[in-house]
Amino acid sequence: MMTPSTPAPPGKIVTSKPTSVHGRVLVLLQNWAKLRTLPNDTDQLTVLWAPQAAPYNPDGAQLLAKAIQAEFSAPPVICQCITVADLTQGIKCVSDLVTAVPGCPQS
Amino acid sequence: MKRPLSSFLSTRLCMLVALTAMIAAAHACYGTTPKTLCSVTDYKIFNPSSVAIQCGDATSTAGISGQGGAVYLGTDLSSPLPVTFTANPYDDNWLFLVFTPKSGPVAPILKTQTKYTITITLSSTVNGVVLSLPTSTLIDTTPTLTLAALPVGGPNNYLVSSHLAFQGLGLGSGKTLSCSLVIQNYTGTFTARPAKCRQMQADLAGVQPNQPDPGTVGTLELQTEGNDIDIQGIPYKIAELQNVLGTAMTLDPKARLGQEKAPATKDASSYYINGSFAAGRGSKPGWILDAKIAPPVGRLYGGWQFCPTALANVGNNSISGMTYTDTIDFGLSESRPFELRGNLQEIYASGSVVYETDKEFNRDNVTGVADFRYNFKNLYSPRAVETLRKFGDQQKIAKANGITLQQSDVSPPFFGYAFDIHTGVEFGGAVVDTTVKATTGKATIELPTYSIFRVVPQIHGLLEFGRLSVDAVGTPRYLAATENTVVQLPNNSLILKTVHGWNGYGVVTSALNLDSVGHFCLSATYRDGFAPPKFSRINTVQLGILMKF
Repeated sequence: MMTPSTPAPPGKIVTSKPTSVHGRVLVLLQNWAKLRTLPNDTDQLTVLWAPQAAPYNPDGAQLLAKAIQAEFSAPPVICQCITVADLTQGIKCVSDLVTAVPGCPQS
Repeated sequence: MKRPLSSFLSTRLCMLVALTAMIAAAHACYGTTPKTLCSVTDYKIFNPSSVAIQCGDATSTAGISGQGGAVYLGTDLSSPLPVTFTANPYDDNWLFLVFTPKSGPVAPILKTQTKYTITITLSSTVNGVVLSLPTSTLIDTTPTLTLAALPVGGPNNYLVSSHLAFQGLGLGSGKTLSCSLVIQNYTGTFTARPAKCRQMQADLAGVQPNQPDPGTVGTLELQTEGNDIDIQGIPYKIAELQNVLGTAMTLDPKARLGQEKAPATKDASSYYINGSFAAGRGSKPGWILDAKIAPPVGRLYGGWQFCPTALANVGNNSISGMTYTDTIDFGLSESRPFELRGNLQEIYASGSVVYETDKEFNRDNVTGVADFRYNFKNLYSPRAVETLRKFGDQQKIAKANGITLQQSDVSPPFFGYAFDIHTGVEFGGAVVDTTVKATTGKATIELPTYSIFRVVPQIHGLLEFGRLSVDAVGTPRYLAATENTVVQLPNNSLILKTVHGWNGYGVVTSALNLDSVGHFCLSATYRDGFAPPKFSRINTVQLGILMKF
């Protein structure tokens, strides 16, 4: 009989700070774009950044890459380098970023 | 005893007010009562006895739980299976369901390639009131994989995902391992192609180590190897991949491996090489090379982005209608934005080292450049950005009205503008003596070495009126050190001249889009002033037609 490689508990403590990649990315984007509420998965990064006084490429993308690095490079390391090029070419919306974070190189 | 009329009216009035308040409160309560405590938007099957479901309408599942859920085969709700389950908060907006048989020994509940309907009454206490509402959803254990391009890690990177947790193939190690991507051709023949696979399952941060993040369960990074022809065909399965129910998994028949598209413009390209050649009877062959290599390299270090640059616009002889400036620049740059508060909202700092020469390599200027761009509040509002802002605002209203709005549905504003200020310095020098030749004739002159120290303030403004845009850059450059330059006189003789003090240079570029989407554009560029390294007087107007497809 097959068993899960990592057994899951029947429940866990839910804290105010998000612990999933998805939740952490949303909070990170809220701080980055200075939003009042959490963004939606379908929101475009350029639209979220638009109210700022500087262009998205490279300014906003570079600040976002720095924020991602700070959030996900600490142990347990999930992601070390989502680059400015990734954020200006492949990653368009919030869900792209949520997908990309665990998919980025770890070293 | 007879009560006074005022007392009677007062009592009736109070009762009426109280009744109205109760009806209003009941209505308000009814109006805000949710239909369910969990609208399921995703699910992950952790093992044959447990499933995590995502409540898409909730930001947190804290305080939500349920007991005594029922499980049905397919969508037939007439006869429940002899199984029950509980629901408890798992993470953020997920609930964790644990299935147990109602009687008999504990055995795996969920079987492969089966659909189940699960129903449960979830309870939560909201403002002191216990809400109990039913929730149901369908889960499917068919071992199907979806495939999507992964926007990081290169053009051949794909995200493979499933509702079923994976097992094996380096799960938990975070390592990239060799795997085989099986591809099917039009005759049904299967071919295994080498690839790299990395399980993306991550643990939840901080609170409970070694607990999987449901969003990353059943996800894998696939990197194909070989050229486009090698992987052409219908991706069928990853040979080594199994799910937690112990079966092999196949890719969705609609899944395809895409090909990366080239960037549309030179500016958007990290690598750009445009070579032109022409030859004909009685004339020397001519060539022109217009090249750019400027990739942002690697990760950020302390927020700084490293970027090597190599620019060349060189040629030999002439080709009708094509010109070149005969410059070659090699540089290394670092840049970083700094966010501020108040009216000055951002400073973008960049530092670079540039070696400037020409095709003959008879100029050897090395300069260090430090530049700071200041962005002020309310002074960055080009039409494109204003359209994005407008789209963001209108999208919220449209969503509330159940309308799907796209960016192309928003009309851009007529007026746009941007304004920023730079300050900077350029320092270095011409490192060796060089011999400068006249462009016509045989005159030559020695250009001795000199030092460079320039203070470079710059003002940049952009105005947009519908299809017309005017972009102006003014650079009143101050040469603190005396520099040498060579001037070619009308009789093609050369003289050595020194330059010092203020040497202003301005460029005004206007463009008029001839069509609404900007395929055709009339452009005019006016340059006036003294530009390095020659500091010869420039006063030119260039007119052109630009086509972009």
